[in-house]
Amino acid sequence: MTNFLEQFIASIVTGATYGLLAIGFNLIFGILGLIQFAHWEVYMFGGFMGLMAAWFLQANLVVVLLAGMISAGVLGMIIEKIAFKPIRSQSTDIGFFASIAVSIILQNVALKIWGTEWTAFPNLISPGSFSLGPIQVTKIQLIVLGVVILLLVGLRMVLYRTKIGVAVRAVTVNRNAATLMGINTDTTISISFGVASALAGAAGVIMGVYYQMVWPLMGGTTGLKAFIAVVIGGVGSLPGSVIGGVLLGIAEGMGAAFISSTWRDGISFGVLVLVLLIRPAGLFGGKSA
Amino acid sequence: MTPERKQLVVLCMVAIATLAIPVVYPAPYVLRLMVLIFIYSILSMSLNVLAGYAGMISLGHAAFFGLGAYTTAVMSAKMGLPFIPCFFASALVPAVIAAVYGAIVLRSLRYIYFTLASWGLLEILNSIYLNVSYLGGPNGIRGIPDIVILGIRIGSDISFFYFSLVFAVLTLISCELLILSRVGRAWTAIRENEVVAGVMGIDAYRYQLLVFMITSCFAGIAGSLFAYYESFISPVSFSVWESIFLFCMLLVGGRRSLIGSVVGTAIFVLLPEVLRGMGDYRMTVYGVILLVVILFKPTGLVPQRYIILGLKGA
Repeated sequence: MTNFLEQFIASIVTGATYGLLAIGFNLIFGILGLIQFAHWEVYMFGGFMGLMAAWFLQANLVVVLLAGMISAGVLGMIIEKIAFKPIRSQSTDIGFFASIAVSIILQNVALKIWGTEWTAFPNLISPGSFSLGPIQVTKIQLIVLGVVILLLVGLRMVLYRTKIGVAVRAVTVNRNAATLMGINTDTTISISFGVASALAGAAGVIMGVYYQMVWPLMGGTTGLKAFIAVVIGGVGSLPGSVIGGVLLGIAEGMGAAFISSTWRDGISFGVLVLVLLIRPAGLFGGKSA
Repeated sequence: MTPERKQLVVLCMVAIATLAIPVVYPAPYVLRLMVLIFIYSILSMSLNVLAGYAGMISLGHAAFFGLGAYTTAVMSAKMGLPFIPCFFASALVPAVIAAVYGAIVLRSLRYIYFTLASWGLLEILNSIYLNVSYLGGPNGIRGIPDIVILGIRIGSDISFFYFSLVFAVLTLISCELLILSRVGRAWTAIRENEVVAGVMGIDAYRYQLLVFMITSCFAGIAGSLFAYYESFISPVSFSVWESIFLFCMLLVGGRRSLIGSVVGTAIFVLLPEVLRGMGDYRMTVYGVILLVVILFKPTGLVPQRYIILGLKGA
């Protein structure tokens, strides 16, 4: 039983991180209708930038996190300017393939720079665990969970309490009307991209810290799961992505622990198809096709 | 010379040049690339019909490619059956799976949700290939025998060159005929505006199911040829990246132009070889080229539908 609960807690922690990744993805989808396939590479890049900060600046967790977030945010904005803005007027299918192209480029640049193997992430959190009744919860798990919650709350506050947040929401609902209201859509879209990518970068650092390693292909494997989380939670719904992420984390963690891990991907996609058939808009999705 | 005449001349020249390759320059390397181009162009042309004409962006096309390949592999290598039954089964199995899956999925899922569902099918199938030991798991199935038709063995690169060329040409002709037929016009109507098409009496569900089945049939045939040619298959060749790869061929070659898809296929099969000298930078250049084409020539290199031999098309 303790094993079960500990696995459950671990699943929630990874699930929360999937949620963080998914929510950034949903932000971009909401505002542009674009499937940002390169979001996962931005996540990976953020993780690596955090690594660089940890190595060369001997920095602590906060600085590393900020380094990852800022660099990822900047990267996201650059990608938006180069690859997505020029084709914004065309059908969104093209944007999907443009993001795939960017994803290929980023993945291979990372492979070239850092090699195919994983790189160890320095230990930034002193080991230790707490007992919550009969189960052990590690310090890392608590800190990771705390950071994710902090970021999500921060995002919510920005979106609902600040002027730029209103602008983002307005552009998401109706771009033309937002322009008529005097909102600079280009800047708003850039900022949304930046914020979403920064969140992805944070997720990258968090995963690096949690698993104590980063590797250039981590965008692909984790990204896929986060994408499924997006669909389960509802494409276009922000709270949905977090819940979808947590649910997926649980399903995956518990599934891997008790079902053969080689079937995991198939099961994840099976779940995806089921969700699509029963509720294509996801659990909380509002935007239909 | 009228434009049609000019096109005909170019087409003839290309055809003669293609047919002459094994005679003029029979290097195994070149022949191998051409065979792959022929096999993959069957895939990209059928995908063009599915996605370019019927507007169904499916990430699962490689799944049917894989189904065809695995059907052939199992039936020939494991069960020892000859070419004809293996081939027909490889064409039928994907069509049946597409029919069943499509019947369930197309009722309610459109556009991006259909894309996701098709991806889901691919991953589920891949999971099966990877885990079921009879299908070889991650090591795949090896030892697929050569094709033997009426006592003639099609084993060498040269013979397979012509064999696959025949199928590629047949695919081109059948896809063209499909597009020009009533069914093809229905697909175009659905793609342009499903509601209006419905008003005109076109049942989107039925036609989408039909195109899904037909194109997966072609994919299965390509899979069968692939299995026979490589003599060995593994799940790696049928991942979602293969599907994306096929879409790249469409995008670069030209959406809605079947000749364009062949051009795109040729580019993407040859590109890795051409870029081989770049070593580690290969894939990066690949991605850059893709991005550049998308940004600057989004309709692809062969933009319009070529009027082949005077037949007008949509």
